[in-house]
Amino acid sequence: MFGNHSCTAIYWDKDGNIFGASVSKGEGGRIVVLKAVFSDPKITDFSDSLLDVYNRLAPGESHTIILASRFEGAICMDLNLPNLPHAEMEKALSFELPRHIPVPVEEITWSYRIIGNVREEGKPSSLVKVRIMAVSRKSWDSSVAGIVDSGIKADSATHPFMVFNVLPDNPEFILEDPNELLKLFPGMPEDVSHDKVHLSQKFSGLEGFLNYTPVQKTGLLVCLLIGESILDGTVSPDNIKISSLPDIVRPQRFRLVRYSAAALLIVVLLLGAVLLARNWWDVRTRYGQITAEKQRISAKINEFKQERLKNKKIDELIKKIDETEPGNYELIQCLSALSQKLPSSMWITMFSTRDDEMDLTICTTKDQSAQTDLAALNNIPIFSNFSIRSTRRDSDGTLTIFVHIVYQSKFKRQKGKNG
Amino acid sequence: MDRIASLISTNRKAVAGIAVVCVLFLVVVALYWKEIVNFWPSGEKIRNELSGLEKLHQELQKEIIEVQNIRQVRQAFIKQGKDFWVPKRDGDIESNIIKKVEEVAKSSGLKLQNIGNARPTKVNEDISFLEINIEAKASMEEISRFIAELYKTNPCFYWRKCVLRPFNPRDAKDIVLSGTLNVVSLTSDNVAKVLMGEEK
Repeated sequence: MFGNHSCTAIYWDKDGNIFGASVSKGEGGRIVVLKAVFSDPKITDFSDSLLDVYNRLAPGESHTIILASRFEGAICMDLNLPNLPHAEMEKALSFELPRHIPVPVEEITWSYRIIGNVREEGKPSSLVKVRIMAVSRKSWDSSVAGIVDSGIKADSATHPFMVFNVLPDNPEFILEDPNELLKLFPGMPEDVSHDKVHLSQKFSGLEGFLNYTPVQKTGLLVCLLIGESILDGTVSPDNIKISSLPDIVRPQRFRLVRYSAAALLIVVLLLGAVLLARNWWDVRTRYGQITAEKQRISAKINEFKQERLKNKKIDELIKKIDETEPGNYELIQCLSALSQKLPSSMWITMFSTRDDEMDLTICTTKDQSAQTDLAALNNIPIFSNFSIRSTRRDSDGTLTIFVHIVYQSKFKRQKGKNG
Repeated sequence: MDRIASLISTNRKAVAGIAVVCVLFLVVVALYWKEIVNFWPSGEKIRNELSGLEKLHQELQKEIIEVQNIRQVRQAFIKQGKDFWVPKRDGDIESNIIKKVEEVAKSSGLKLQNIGNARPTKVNEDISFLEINIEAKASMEEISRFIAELYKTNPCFYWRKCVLRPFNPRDAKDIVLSGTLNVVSLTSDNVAKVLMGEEK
């Protein structure tokens, strides 16, 4: 998904001819050559010429830009070494290089790329083939100065040998022979010739290839080799670079998108922070209110409990007084009610009370209506449980009725309340 | 990993310092975990607090009702304080209560035939009853007036027993009153203070 889909390779040879090609992945595994340009012979200054080629190629922001050159005094070799982590491999090579390079290590800029496992008798061994490219520091610095002067942007600067899978016996010669270069493309026949074969099986957009001069063909093929290697993922800008280019040369891709993303991230973080702060504030406020309310209620309950505790003795005494039965103190009310409600045909001959219980002896001469008349006493609110215990007929015809009434105790001690 | 290992090996002092700070941070977090949690209370904690608050509200309502009831009873008791004999306020009950009954009888025009000695009955340390037997022979009007006057008098006289019968069954002019009066005496100092208004 994030692989290289487009690549722009710019190569310059020993004579200062600059070649450039923009390629991208096409359908069916073919590579589309978007543009192929060559330096204008009228522009003699290297930097100007490089800028001209670059501008005509007009690589987009998504293009991986590789610069390649046959650096003066470049030394390339393959060594078989144990597969080591990057740091240790660098250490090992820094020890190994002085034995293979006739110049002091301090005077060179070097890099390496692991090509793959070494096969011994057809079987993979624990050793790896490491390609080392050493360029004199002077040549490297001079090339970088030219690149910086031109003002172009590039991801990496390399030597064409770094993308070769196999290092030929006479590599310098290959870089000048288009036929030999063609053989380096995977799937090409042994008798391939730049006069006969066109690269339509592999590339599209190279219809004018046969019309190019051998020098142009050579330069373009180097660019295509680099472009193909980058696009198929065989190499990456980082593992073919001889050394890192200055930051000023490195392309700033998708600056707007990155700045927008950064701004968006800041806004999201700010909004998130505001949301969190607001949430925290709300929660704290609510929690504080609940806690304060709980404390207030607890204090109130405690106050009530203290009051009850303080008055416990007196309250218990009041309760005890309520439970006592000192007697009927509203005797006058009872007598008043009886005298008012007793029918005129009846009279009380005896009144006896013990606490709330009353026994009456009532006499009447009108025994026919006695039952109805006594019903009036039954409806007096302050009395309950009105009952006739017995009756007696006297010799003079008087009917004596023995009545039992219970005074309703709820009226006890209402005097104080009523004033 | 190699890069991290080499970074650690080259910055041993800084790594040791950071490790100490991390350990201290963890200790502080462990020690003040409760406060940290309270700093940003969770929804569940808020719900628990609300539930606790609801229970407290219910308890408060119950307490308010109970206290209101108790206060009402207490107020009523204080209001009817004169119904009880409080020795600290009213003096010695045994020597004074008979005088009180005699005064009421005299004011109502009733001549008591007999008035018994005051008999104290202790309900508990703070409450005691004092019973007095009385007997009288008078007209119903005089007896009624006496009972009515007694009703109005303080302290409150309770009728433990009361018998009203005609002296002569064939003549209702003279009525015999035979009764036992009861007075409630409150001896507690606390009650005395409350009823005398010294304490609410």
